[in-house]
Amino acid sequence: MLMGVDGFALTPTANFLAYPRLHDECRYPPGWKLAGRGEPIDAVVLTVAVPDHALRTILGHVGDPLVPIVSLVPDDRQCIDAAGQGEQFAWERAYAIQARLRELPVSIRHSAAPEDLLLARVYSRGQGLAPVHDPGSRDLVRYPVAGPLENVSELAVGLDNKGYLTRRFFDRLFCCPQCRSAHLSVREECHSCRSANISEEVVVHHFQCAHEAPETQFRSHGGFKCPKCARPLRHIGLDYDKPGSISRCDDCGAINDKPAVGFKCMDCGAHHAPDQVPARTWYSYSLTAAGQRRLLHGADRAGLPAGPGADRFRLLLEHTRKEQREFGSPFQVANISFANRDAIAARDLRLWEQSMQLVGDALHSALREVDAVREHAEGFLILMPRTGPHDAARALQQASARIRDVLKVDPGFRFTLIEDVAIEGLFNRRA
Amino acid sequence: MLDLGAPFVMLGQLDWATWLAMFWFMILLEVPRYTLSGMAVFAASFARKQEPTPAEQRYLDGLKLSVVIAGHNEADAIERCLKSLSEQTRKIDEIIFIDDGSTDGMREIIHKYRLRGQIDIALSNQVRSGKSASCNLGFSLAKGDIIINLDADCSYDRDAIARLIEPFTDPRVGAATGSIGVRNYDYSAVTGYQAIEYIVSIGMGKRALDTIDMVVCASGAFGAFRREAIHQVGLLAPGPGEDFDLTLRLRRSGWKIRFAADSWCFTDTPATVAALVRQRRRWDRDTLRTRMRKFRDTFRAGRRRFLLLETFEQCEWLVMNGLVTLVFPIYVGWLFLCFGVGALNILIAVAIIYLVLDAIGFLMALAICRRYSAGMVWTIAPYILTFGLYNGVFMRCVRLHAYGEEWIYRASSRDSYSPSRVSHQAHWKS
Repeated sequence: MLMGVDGFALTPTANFLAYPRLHDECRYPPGWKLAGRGEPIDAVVLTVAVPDHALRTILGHVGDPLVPIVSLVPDDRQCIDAAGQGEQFAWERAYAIQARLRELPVSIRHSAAPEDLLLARVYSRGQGLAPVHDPGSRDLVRYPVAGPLENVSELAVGLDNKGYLTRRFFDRLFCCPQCRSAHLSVREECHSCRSANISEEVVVHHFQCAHEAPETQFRSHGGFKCPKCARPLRHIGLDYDKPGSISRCDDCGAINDKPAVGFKCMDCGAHHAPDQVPARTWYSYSLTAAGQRRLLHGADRAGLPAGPGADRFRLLLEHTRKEQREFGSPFQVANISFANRDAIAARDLRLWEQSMQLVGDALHSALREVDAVREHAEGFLILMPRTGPHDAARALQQASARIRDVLKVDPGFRFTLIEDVAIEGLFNRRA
Repeated sequence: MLDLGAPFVMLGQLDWATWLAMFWFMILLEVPRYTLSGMAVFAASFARKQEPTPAEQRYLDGLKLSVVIAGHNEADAIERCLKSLSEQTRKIDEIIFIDDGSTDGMREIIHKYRLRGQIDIALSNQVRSGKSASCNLGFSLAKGDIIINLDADCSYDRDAIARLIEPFTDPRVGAATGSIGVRNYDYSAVTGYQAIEYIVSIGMGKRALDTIDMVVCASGAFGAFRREAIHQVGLLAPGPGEDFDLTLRLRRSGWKIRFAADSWCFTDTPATVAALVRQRRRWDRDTLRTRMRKFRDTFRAGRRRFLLLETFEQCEWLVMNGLVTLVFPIYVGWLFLCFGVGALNILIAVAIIYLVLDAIGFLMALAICRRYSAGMVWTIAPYILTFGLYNGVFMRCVRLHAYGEEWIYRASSRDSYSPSRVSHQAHWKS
């Protein structure tokens, strides 16, 4: 069958690699040609459903993580750019991606930096970095646009911090604190032995003798008879009622009001209480103007990105330094850390996460508008322009008092004012 | 100004026959019953206390203890109660908390403590069932050899549980109860009077009853029961007065009830006159109903399991409580009829005599208990001057009223202590 490509003209000829081979009757659109030995490959066309290891071999052979891969048969794997929507669509999609890749400067097109690759893939695929739910993934979420790239979420967060991507909430999923897998089974279980083998039983209250016990004790030959006074229970509301229920573990016999809720990781088998299970937030990302500029005009690694989403903290730091150089205005950078972080997180990870959000809010409310706060792995960095060390210490003590007021736990708030020479090192290390 | 010598001058002019006619009750019954028994207990308190032998201690250590606490809207009291239980020197194997249809968040609170491991079983009734039913649910689930029934609004000495179970070394003992003290003694005059009342009645009264095996109430606020015994007699009956009822049934079944005098529990007593009257009316109504209605066959000598001690105990109560309460207004009226205004002198003289007896009794009870601080004694000591009026007049009037409303109207069956749908079925259909 002819795979006609009507409606658009192909100007430069593109080389494609067909795997395992094109069928005899298969015709590819004008503008494409099979890549010869040693020629660059602009697209990979899969003609059958190839196994994973074969696909990895092909990608390794091609050596270009940006190259479009389309399949002429249905295939929903991460790195396939088009599949199952018709052959014409597959060719069109491959060509569109290739055309966009050609717009990229060489420094980006052949960059090996993961951030550049991710930005280039987002740009070339012409769509944002949109996540989809994927039961086959350990995270239950994947970014198809990212193709074979790894640690996509972390890369995207970094690019978002730098202002190249902007994010929108997608979903929040619990994950195993031990192996980070999102394959968790949420279940009702016994408080004592954590078995899911539990059953619920109604409690019966016999008015006349005040006996109250699980319903099974009252059952007798299809009816109800009080095990204490042997009277029959005939009329609910007059003879008896059912004021509550109990849950009973059929493994250990433990009884309680209601079952516990537990999380069991389907990957590592670990069991966790609800307050120990962290939630991971997933976002969809789209390219910002700054990101597009960086892609199309080459990477300027030393410079700071411009635009509304740029790293505000870095910008302000540069600006404040400049102000100090030109006008002699002092500034302070404080490193906030928490002595009790590990202890609290080990006891209740979610409590710690919530506490950190509150700390962030408290810091923002206690500091001036001109001050900048940036969260890092171990705490916060605070930039305080036009401030001497004494004023900074006083402001931070006030912030510390505010934090103590709003938190249920004592996080062990402590701060150190950092020397200017040490700022960059600390900043770069933790960014 | 009142001349306190005048009553005694007048009494001095009476011959012995008139004296006896006027004060026979006090001379023949009350002094031997209360003052002499108190002195006996006081004397006995100097004897060396018998600690459990090593073998008995091993037996006690091997007992499994379950604590059952049922409460309605007692969210504020739980923390203090659990704190004092966690401080106990004797390990508690199981704590069962039952929220009886509370609306103050008690269910969530006991669930929270259960998650922390401070409660083993936390159950809730969606609708209120009453204390008896809630406790029965706990009793039927408890696995301990000894089931200890406590109130959520009480707190306990560190060795309270260890002391409370000591009587169970005797296999004939089916239940034990401990001493109850007043925690809010300094709140008001009402709590001050009750503090004295508790000190005297528990410090001496219950000890005296224990020596002659006549303890008839293992309190639901602080009582320990042998599991086998309470299951034998069928757990608690519908309230109110369920603890008293259960104890009488245990006694009838041949179990002994013991008073563990050195095991201390503290509670808040009613702080206003209205609350006190409400509480005492309920207690007295329940006592009358249980004794004179439910257990009236105690007086029938021909019944299947006639026990002389039980009948004697009932008669003692009938005379010392029932009769005194009924006769008291007649006695006062008779005095005024015979002596006119001079009756006042006689009453003042009686009050002074009672004051002296009360003071002696109070001091002896303090010496026996050895539990109260000097600060507390100084705080409540002034109330001893008018304690006779409180106990001898005011409380008797309250009791008379309670007996009247129970005897005529069966008021206990309409008590709000149990939900109306439950008490109606329990008291009118059974």
